[in-house]
Amino acid sequence: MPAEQRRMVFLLSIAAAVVFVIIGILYLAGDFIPSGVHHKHAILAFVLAAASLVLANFNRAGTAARR
Amino acid sequence: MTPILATIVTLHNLATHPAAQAAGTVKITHVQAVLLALLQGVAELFPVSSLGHTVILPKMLGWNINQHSTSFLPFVVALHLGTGIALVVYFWRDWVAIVTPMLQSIQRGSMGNDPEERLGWLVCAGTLPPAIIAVFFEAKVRDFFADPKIAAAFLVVNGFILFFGERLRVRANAALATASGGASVDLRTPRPISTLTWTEAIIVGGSQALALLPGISRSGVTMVAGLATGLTHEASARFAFLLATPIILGAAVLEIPALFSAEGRPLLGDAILGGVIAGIAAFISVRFLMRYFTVGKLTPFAYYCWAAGGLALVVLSVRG
Repeated sequence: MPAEQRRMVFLLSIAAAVVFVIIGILYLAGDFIPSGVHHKHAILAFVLAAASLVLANFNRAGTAARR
Repeated sequence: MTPILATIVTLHNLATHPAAQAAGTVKITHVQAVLLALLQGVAELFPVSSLGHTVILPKMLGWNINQHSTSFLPFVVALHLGTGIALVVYFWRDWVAIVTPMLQSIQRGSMGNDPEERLGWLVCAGTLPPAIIAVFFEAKVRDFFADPKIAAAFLVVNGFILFFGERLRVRANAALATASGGASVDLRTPRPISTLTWTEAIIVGGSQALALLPGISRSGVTMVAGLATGLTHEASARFAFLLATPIILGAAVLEIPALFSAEGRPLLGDAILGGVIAGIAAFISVRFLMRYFTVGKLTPFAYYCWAAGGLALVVLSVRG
């Protein structure tokens, strides 16, 4: 994958991880949907955040090469 | 009496205490608990749909068990926990071989060429889509298709999926032989699971979502999807069970608090007993299936699904 593309994937993955963490916290707090706390949804959001971070980690090399 | 047995008996005595049998709690006998555990342990891994069987069989036997009751949830959780642990125990060498290079690749920051490492990431890619679908839609789908007649109909459909999946495999092999221009092609040469593309892994893993429909088998649809990508029966079965492990275990682990909730206490003893029996049954089942699929095909399970689904449809329709 070209370095420019890797950098884009890296940035998007980091952004996705942040969004998923926020969603997870909101689910835990019970504020995301009116029907209350949804632990399973929160855990899924954290798992997706972790997956996004792993994807970002694999595309770290592209950003390092650019620098 | 062993400590474990003593614990089970004590917990059961607690469970059958009149105070525990408050209104709204589900009561099952030991025989029912054992039969449901055996059914779960076997049917979860055989390509015949455990969900379909647990919806159909109690109705056909006239058991009045409200399986959607919150007090029944710990029992279900324990059965899945037992099944998931059995899968981990059977495939523990595979998991060590998969997880170790995965962790090393995370540390390295790049994917290597290790086939087991790639298999691990393929399992991850194939697990996320059905997990997302299950978290958001499982309850809705389960409630919508809870009717035993619908489950029986889907069991017949499952038979067609298995049967035509097998036919597709034969056709794919014939096409491969034709494409080779008559040259000698060893169709028994297995395609390694690690050569699957990301898209193929997501499709094979995502097919597990169909198993939310009672009567459609998770291992069945995953195996058929695996066969369609050119994997052998053995490789398809291995990939299907590796894909099923995090889903089954994850779903059970997420519900572990229910095991110790006040609502679940009446069934805790039976839940522990059921979990152990389901685990043993699942271990024996996966051991049998992994040997069977070295030479066996899905067709016999298709015939079973047609027969069982058809019989259930007739019996349930006659009874009204």
